Amino acid sequence: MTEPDDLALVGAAQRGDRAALDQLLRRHYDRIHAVCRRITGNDADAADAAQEALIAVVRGLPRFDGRSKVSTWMYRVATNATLDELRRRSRRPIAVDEASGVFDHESVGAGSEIALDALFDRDLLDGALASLPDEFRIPVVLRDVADLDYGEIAEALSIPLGTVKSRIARGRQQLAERLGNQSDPSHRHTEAP
Amino acid sequence: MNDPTRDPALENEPLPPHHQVVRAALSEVGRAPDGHREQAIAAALAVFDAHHGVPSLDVARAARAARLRRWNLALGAAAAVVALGVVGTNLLRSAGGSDQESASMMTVASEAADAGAAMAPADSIIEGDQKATSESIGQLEGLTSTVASTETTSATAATGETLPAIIGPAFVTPAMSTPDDLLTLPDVLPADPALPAIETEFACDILDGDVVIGRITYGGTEAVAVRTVDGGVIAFDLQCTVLAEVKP
Repeated sequence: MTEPDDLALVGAAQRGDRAALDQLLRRHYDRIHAVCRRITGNDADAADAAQEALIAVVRGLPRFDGRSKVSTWMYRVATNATLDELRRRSRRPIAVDEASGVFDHESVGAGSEIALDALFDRDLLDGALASLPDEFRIPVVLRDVADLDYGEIAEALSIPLGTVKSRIARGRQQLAERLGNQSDPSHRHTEAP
Repeated sequence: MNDPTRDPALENEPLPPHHQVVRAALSEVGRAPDGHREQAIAAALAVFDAHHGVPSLDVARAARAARLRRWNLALGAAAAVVALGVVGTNLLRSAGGSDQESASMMTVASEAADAGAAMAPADSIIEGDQKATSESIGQLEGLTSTVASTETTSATAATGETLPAIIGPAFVTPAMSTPDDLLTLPDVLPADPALPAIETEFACDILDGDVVIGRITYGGTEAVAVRTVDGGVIAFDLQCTVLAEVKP
């Protein structure tokens, strides 16, 4: 027996099917949590934000009209919930070890070489990502963590497609610089037309 | 589904070589902790139930649990800083002590800090300014054990959004045994001058508008009763686990 698709689950949930909602939330929780984790920069805030996101999804169910993909809608809701959570605390995301001084822009600044393995250093990546402005960090997270395409990101963030493209390009560039791995200039404009 | 903004060419965007590695690292967040997943889903389903007329206390509980996590972190860090400060103060005051003793104290403090100490009554630690070095060591060891017990406590146990202190004379501590008993509590328990003074930091998580009634015993367990904004009463044990919750 095939699994019902997202749209079928949403439809059932809108009609009051609790089990369908449970299945939908479980299907997407890990990815929502990942988005929240990358936007907030730490586990505790991510857990709170992911929970708020699921609650927001439930509250938004009656208004979902199927014009966008369910996953796009859910990630948009998750993104907004996460940003609300950060705004509520009136601060930018702070990676746990940035706060404790482990992340040091000077020591891993532009021009320095770092091993590729270091990119998998969670603390380093968290710190670098957290240091990006929201307008760059969020599109990069939605593209590289949520795996949304540019059109979906444009829809999720209510910004033009061209803006999404430029922000992702600039976000990636800034991320590379913060990780001390400046990109080859020849790659700076290799985004698809 | 037709999406007019979708451009298939963008799906095959050539990534800068280094970003392929970064992208892989970004997506390596890992599976969310099961406890967080279950709690979040339970909270969402509780909202769903509420919209469909099914009464549930899970929303409030989930909200509390979420706040607990935040305050665990914040107060844990604060308690660790306080503990280190006490050790530093006592080190200065006991300058005649041996290096070995000092190193031992620092180790204890470090363990407390590393463990993310939470729920330690800060006032009682600050009192260490007036006490001997050995007492400070004892306090820090106690702090460490508090941390250990905190880590094993359920998701509903931790420190609070607001931190009203119960300081001063001891209160009458009525014995309660059922949730309905909690509804018989007065707004505030009277102090009992016959009892020795106590100093207890109430650090459980309560919501805006919740009011601490006072110390009680619930089912033979020492507890703190809190009246919620909707007139209900929650009994927390001293580790902040919810022992009972009743609505009017």
